[in-house]
Amino acid sequence: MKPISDEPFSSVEDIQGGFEKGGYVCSKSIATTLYLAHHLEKPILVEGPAGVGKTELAKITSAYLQLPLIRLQCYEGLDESKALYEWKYGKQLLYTQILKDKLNDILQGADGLAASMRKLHEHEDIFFSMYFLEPRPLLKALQQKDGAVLLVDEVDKSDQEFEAFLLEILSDFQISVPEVGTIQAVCKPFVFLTSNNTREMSEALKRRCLHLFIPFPDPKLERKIIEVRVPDLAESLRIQLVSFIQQVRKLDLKKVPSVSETIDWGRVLVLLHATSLTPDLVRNTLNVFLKFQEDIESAEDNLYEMARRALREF
Amino acid sequence: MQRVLQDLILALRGSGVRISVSENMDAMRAAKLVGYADRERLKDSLGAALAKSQTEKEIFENCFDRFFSPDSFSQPEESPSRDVEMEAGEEDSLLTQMLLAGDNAGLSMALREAAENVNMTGLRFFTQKSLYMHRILRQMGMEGLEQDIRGFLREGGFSSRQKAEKLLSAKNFLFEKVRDFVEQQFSLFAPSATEEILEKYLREMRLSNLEQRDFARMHHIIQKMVKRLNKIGRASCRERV
Repeated sequence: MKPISDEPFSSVEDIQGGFEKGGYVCSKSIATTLYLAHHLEKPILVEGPAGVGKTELAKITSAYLQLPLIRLQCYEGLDESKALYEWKYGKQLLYTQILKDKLNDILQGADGLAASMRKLHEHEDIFFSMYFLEPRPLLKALQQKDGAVLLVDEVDKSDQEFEAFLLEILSDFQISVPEVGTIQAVCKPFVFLTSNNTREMSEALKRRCLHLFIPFPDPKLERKIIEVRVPDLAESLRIQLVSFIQQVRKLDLKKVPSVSETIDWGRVLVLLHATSLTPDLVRNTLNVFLKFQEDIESAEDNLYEMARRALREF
Repeated sequence: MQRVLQDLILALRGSGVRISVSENMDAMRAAKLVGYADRERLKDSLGAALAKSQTEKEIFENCFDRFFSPDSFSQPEESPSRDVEMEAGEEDSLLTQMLLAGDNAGLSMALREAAENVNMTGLRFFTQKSLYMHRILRQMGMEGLEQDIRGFLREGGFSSRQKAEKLLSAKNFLFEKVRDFVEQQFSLFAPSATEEILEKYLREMRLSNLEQRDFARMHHIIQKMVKRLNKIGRASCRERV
């Protein structure tokens, strides 16, 4: 089992720089956790509110390492046949047909049932072998020659039983197929598990992972993110936009705007050729980052005050 | 540094963070990898290896900051001899020499060494605070300091009297600093320190997400809520009457 090359992970600063080139501005804490995950060969359990860039982190890591991203989207009822492997039933049926056709040649000269069985056992039994195994994302990630980035997305949505399947791959980078035996990773994949905290993950799973909590970014980091992701947005407008969003996050809302929604709003403002965050402009575009009518109404109640404060920022 | 890290882990465990042996080993490897020079990096690394939920992260940060906070000697504006430094004789004890020279770095190191020797992790109850203070001061060389003060007073010359006065005020300063340090360590190793954080999260947590280990705390929270509701109920009854 070989590890992924050390070169891209030579320092925390290298990771930060490399990610920024790819359009992902990451904090020191994120870069440090990635650095550790590589050198300690541990998976990362990423938690945090929706839309802070948990899935994006796996995507950018895959681009940074130039390795394929293998993604497993979790849901209730997800089982090993969808996540680990499945037998190729059609091919197995075909094999039995061929075996039946060849049976006369194989058993030639055998006298009686016992002798025929003995003769048959002389041949390799390949009915349950790798030839007939259809790899699903987890197994596929282990089979990649140069390694891969494995993303087990929204693991909290899967059942607790599914977590048990994951334990072996998370600690030993291998899976056990009862009929075949243990299959080890050719090259240890870089593993991300993301969770929105809809349920508490088991102690066993947490123990096997490094933990990374990505909160909403502070104004400075969010301005940097917008600068990288929406470069056409003027600096003054960028400062106002981030100030406004940070104020909206403090309101009592059903769904607070995420970073991806801040980026969307920035793109909308560029499209509208906006130069300043006027109350009218904000009112007309509130639905870009607020997705519930109640939230829009409560933001409208505070709109003038928040827009005034945002304008004062620049 | 391994001992220091183990003490931090002990403090975290005492605060309700469940740390397994494998997580302990991960933390050791992480610290070895990133080193101790960059405080924030060390904090991020140990946080990733030891704290596995938002609640635990908050407890971890709280503990880490208190654990690695600079002791009072590290503040340059405070010094036992900030007005004038005096020459100590070679026959004076090491503690006397450091106090007379205003050697804050030396005092800080002596305090840390003494704390390590007396094993602060045993400090669990407030009644132990004076005992630990006494042990630390003894380890730092309090007996030698007192002997020197008595000696200077016996000598009786102007310079000796001045030194004795200086040392007496430095002794008070030392007492104060050691008391602050013991208080800080007590807040770190006493389990009550992080109860508030845990309770805050438990109050907001969905019941389906509760874990077995939280049940006892939940009982306590519910009892408190019932008492409060009873109080409110009685108050509104009295108002109606």
